[in-house]
Amino acid sequence: MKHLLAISNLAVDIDIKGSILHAVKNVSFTVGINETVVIAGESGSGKTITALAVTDLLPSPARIISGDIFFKGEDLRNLSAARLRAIRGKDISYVFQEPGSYLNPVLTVGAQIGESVTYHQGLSRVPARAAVIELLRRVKISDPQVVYAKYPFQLSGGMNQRVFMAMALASRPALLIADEPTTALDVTIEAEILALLGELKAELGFSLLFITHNLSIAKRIAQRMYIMYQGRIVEEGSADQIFGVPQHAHTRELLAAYDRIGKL
Amino acid sequence: MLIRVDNLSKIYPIERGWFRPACAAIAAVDSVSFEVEKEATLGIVGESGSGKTTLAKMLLNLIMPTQGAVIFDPAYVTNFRKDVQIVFQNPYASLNPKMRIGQILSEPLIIHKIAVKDEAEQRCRELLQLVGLDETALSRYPGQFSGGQRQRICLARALACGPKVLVLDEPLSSLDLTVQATLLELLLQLKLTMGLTYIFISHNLAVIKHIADSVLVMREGKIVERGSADQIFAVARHPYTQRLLAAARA
Repeated sequence: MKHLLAISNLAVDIDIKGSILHAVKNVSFTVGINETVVIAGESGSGKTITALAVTDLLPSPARIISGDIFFKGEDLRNLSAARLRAIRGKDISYVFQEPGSYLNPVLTVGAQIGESVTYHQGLSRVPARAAVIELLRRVKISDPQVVYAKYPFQLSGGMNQRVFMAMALASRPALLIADEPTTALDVTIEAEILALLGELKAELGFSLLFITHNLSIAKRIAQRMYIMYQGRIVEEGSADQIFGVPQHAHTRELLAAYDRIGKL
Repeated sequence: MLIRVDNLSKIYPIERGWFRPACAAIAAVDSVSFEVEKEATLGIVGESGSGKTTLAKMLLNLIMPTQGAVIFDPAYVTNFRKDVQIVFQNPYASLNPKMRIGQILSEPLIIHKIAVKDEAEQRCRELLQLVGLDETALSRYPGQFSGGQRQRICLARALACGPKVLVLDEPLSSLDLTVQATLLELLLQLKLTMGLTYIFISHNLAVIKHIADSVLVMREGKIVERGSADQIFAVARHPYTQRLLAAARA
């Protein structure tokens, strides 16, 4: 088994009142074990749809039309719903852009992370609490006992994103899919979250599929990256290759904008 | 001096509940003073919650300051509502979805009695051309445009009655980088041709570096550092500015 995740010829259509939008066209990519892969592109390029398609989390008008999705050698497209559910959130987990709107506002932080711990690891109440507090400590929350009892709206965006990461990592996933996890955050907080993600990855050992529109993040973290444009992957390479010798016209356009106003 | 901001504060009380006295207060903007020269660009940077937008709204007299004053040169700014305009951050929330672009652009013309009917329509066409949009836009609704196009419409609306001062509150932040680069170019060009004064609010230091002559750095409602753009980007003195720069350069 060479790749942890191997996607080939993925196509996703979105049916908007009878007119079909080909949101993702013939997309193929791989993520290796312990590898950090970045998919970069502008809004509407199909990055998020691609990320959601991996575990068939697509919103209802969107549908996978064709393609193969292999995870640990298992064909995710031909699994029973129950088996896919067991993989989704356990072996493959997600972190999204706005933690505030993905966390449940009526549950405390402890209860939400606890749900993942009890569901996937089958722990009972008391050990689950200890496990959750350990996770909160892992994501560098300084007083986990206090945060355990808080509701998401009582925490800042950066804190919520740490909570979200704790929840995603609770099940010890092999693959973490992070979809613009720092886009809603201030730059100083963004730097902290990215550093934390790097540390956790080294510590726990998971593969990271990172979706972003921000090329400076891509440059910072990517071992390999893909550029998406209008539903297709137009370029693939190491960060050095993409930033050094961009091949596709759109990549060059992105980099020109990045050179002007994307970096200091 | 075109604008003088003198010891400006906005203090919000924190209510404990109905009919109870406020238990504390938050100074969203705290004793801020600065000046803006004619035809200059002042950049205001700071993270979320630093009071940038509250300051912008007070400059426009959209909210009342708790204390202090904003004074525009009365010889230059003769009709405040016409001469001072704003472009907001979110182009999805600042255009009326039920109005056609033609109506949106001609409304300020009619209110300020600048043009009516055919003349107004002609002016709207010119405005669209100015911001690089096709005149077929006139009969369409905001929902039919992308974020970048909507922000161009917001800009056209702000330019409709020939303002002298433009407050731009994170005008590029919700847009793709390539769109940001084109709009930034457009803003620079419009400023030169129309002799505008910009107050440009952003959390993106690279954009500020590109457009601003002088810079204010805000944190928790206060100005923690000020200086010319060259100065701030070369030798930031305040630790907070240094942290911001380090994060942006990483």
